[in-house]
Amino acid sequence: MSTGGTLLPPGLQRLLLLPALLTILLFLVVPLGFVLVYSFLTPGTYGGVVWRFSTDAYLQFLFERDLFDDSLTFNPAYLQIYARSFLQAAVATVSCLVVGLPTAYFIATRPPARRQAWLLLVTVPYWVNLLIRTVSMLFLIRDEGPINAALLALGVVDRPLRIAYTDFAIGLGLFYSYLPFMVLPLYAAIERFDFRLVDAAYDLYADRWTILRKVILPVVRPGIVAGCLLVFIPSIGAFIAPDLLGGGRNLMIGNLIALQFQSSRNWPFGSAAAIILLTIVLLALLLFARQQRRLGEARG
Amino acid sequence: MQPRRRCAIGIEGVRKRFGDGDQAVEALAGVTLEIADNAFFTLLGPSGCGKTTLLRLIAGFEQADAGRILLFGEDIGGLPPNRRPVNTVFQHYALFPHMTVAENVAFGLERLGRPRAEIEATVRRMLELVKLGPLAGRRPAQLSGGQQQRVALARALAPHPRVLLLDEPLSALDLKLRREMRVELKQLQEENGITFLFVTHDQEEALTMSDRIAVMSEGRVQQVGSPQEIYDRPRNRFVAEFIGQGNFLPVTIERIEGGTALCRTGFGARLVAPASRELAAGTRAILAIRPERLRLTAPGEAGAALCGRIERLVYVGSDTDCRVRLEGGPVVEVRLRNAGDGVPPAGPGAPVGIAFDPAAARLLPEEG
Repeated sequence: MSTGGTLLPPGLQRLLLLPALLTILLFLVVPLGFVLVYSFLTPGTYGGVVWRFSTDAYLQFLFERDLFDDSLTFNPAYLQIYARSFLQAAVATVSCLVVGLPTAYFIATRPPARRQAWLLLVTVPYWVNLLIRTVSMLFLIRDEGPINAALLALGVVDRPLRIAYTDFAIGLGLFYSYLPFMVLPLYAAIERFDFRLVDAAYDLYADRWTILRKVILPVVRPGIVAGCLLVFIPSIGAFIAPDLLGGGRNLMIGNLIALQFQSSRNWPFGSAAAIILLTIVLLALLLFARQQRRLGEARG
Repeated sequence: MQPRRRCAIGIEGVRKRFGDGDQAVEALAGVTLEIADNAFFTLLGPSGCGKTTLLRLIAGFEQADAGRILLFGEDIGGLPPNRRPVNTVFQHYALFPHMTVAENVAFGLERLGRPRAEIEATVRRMLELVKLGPLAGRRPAQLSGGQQQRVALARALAPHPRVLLLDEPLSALDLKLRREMRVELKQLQEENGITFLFVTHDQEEALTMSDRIAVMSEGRVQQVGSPQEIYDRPRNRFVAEFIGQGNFLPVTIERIEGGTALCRTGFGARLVAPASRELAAGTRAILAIRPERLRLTAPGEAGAALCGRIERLVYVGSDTDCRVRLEGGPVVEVRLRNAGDGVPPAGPGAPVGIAFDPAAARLLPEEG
């Protein structure tokens, strides 16, 4: 079996990866190393760090240190922020799946020539900067915005509906920001799906619902998983949507981290919060991969 | 004649068009067929003849524009595929890739709500039947083409359908495997007592397995008959040409005496063939004869009906194909059985006579 192209001799083929590897080393591994190191240092008075080892940043995540006797009391405030972020990301992921699946199915079952046009439409939001899109969403949902104006004019409500600066607004923002990330991998999976399997299942006495549940969904499962990861991971650490649409009141992890590097000037705590987020995401991915493998073994 | 058997599938004046307006294609232009219970029935024809469309109509994947489809006398036209007691073996198997072999075979039984124990027993029996018992836990992707083919068969047979539909199931296999599967399929059909409706474009498959064959072309049934009838007594030139090889000589029927027609070719040769009811004296016709029914004789020998010169010899193992240019006429193919002594019949350019038993010739109507 051939192990690669013939453009370069085997010894030189690794060179193809070199630019990407250097980029990752410089812009991911090195800064991440800084973050990890900073999380174990002492905060400087005006930001930055003092080079003195400390685990305070991690303790601060769970406990509050008493100013007078240095005793630690449990403080769930940060855990709550993580829990809220997790919930928001989960809701956004499920919403994207519910809306993305029919969309992707529709596009993937059009004649091949039309699919490209539909896919182009899916990517249209990305032609506009996320910040602009989120601000324009804020204009739509704020108390004086067109949605509330219409509801008031129609007499549906007598006071503006509070949408902006709520958890719902954040969820809406996350859903809207990452929906294409769900549609594209789902489309790729459904497009590859062999629809003759539907005929086969239909022939073997399956009704439509059973065909969807027992044949289509399990076969396109890798696409569903990819889409969910692509929505969930950026959602849980999102910054723009909670910052603008949540008005900075209902913090998510992204805001918490940003706050520590800006007004709070606690770089070690900000770094620790980022490392904890990273750890949670990696653990979730690891668990998920293990479950996938076990599922594969149980079947194969 | 066999005793008349119950009719498993009745096709009555079925029509089907695809597309509309100028681009409409008439896939079935009025097909009427009776398929006997417990038979191995083959729909044979070139691609685009409508055979697969007919199969999909019976399975329920398409709806007929006109006509009726009866299953053991009952009109099943309105039923969706999941409510028709027929199962299909698909051309590319369409095995469920995320399920094991056993899960694939169990799928239909589970949908029918059979008890767990019965499902397990049937799956085991089916996998033994197709000799795949040890591979029950494998996924389709881990199987060879031939094994996948057997899984598809077992899966479709497991619910014990009243009719099994097979859509070119052997076309993806290599020649050797295809030959083996032919025998196995025929055996399966005989042992299970299920009516097989088999679709193929391969005449050899059709001839070797079928009890009856319907030859189709351009949305119509051209001829229905046993393999021998189809091969020896083709009803028209399409059937004669599509199945086996043939020589087709345009002739004029001069006289009919008893059951025998005396014909004359355009190049002056006089030939004798069994008379055909549809063709009267004085009409033009096609005299068809199979290459293996022709014999080479010494030039000018008494029994020789035609004479010419050998143009080319092609050695094909068991036989030699011999092209003979007739005097003042066309080229005919003569298939000679090789004696195995390595001696070729004669060299190119040699003058030869051609003889045949008049009973082996067929008079066919002129085309158009």
